[in-house]
Amino acid sequence: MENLKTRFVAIHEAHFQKVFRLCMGYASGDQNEAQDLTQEVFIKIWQNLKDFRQEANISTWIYRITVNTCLLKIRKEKKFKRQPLNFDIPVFENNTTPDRKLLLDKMYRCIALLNQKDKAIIIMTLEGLEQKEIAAVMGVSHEALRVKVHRIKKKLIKCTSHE
Amino acid sequence: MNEFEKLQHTWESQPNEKTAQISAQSLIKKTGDIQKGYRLTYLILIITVLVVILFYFYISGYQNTTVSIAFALMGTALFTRIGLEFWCRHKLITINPGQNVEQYKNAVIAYYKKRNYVHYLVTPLTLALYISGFTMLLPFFKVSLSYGFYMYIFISFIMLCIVGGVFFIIQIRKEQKMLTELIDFK
Repeated sequence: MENLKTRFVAIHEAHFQKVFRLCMGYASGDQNEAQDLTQEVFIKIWQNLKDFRQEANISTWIYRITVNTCLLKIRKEKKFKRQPLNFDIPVFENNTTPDRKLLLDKMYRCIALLNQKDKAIIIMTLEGLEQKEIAAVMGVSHEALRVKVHRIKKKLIKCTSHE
Repeated sequence: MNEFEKLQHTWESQPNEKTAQISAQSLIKKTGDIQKGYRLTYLILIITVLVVILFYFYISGYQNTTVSIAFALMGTALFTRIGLEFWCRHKLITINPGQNVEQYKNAVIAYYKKRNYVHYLVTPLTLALYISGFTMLLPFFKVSLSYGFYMYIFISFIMLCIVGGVFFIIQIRKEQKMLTELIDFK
């Protein structure tokens, strides 16, 4: 049990920000919603950690739990709408240019316009995950994902430059 | 730096200010509290069953066949429906969240499709059993209770049926909407 706890603490420390940012993307920049989702994700990680058998990479497993939780939770609470919602973008440090904040705001708005699957794919891409890993999270072939990523990237670039 | 790399850099430069607010220890504790909550709900259900059984013996219901049948019908209906609700909830929360998104989505769709049997078959059946049992008890209530109390029980029952019916309809609609959205998931 103690080993499991130590492992969970390490996972929490290493993956918290990535999970939180993915949830932020799903919650269209609503920090409170993202925090609730993140909490739920880590509760599921803790509940299922003893059954994790290393068939998948630990980060793939965590991303799967995150996307699955966001998918179900946001639908349940009718939060998901294909239009920009209320934004509560994190405050940047003093040395950050206003342009970057503005761009991030645009990004959240544009991500909110994507469908559920594209939203998950682009956030994981922005997080720097390899396409092979994203394909394993989503349950699609690497080839199909590659084409999709290319299309969504173009969509995001176009949207952020026109917003 | 190309356009997408610029976006990626902006995304990655978001501050990490929320880390301290949800510690791993507090999450472990919260999981324990959730499990305690489940155990408490089961305990309340068991106590309710015991109270109903005690009440049946208290009023010597076993001396009258009609009363016994009525109690059996109502009890069976009530506990089948509540038991099934617990079982369904257990099934939903034990769907492996570590599967890939496609597999998980299919597992949730399969769950909600099975829930349709509960909504469209078990619920009307248990409701019919419950109403039958109650109707069988009405003549006994009329003879043994005051008019005022009899009317109170009768009207409460009708109100309970209406409120319960509305609740089930809302729940069914909500689940159907979710099922449709999951099937349409792109």
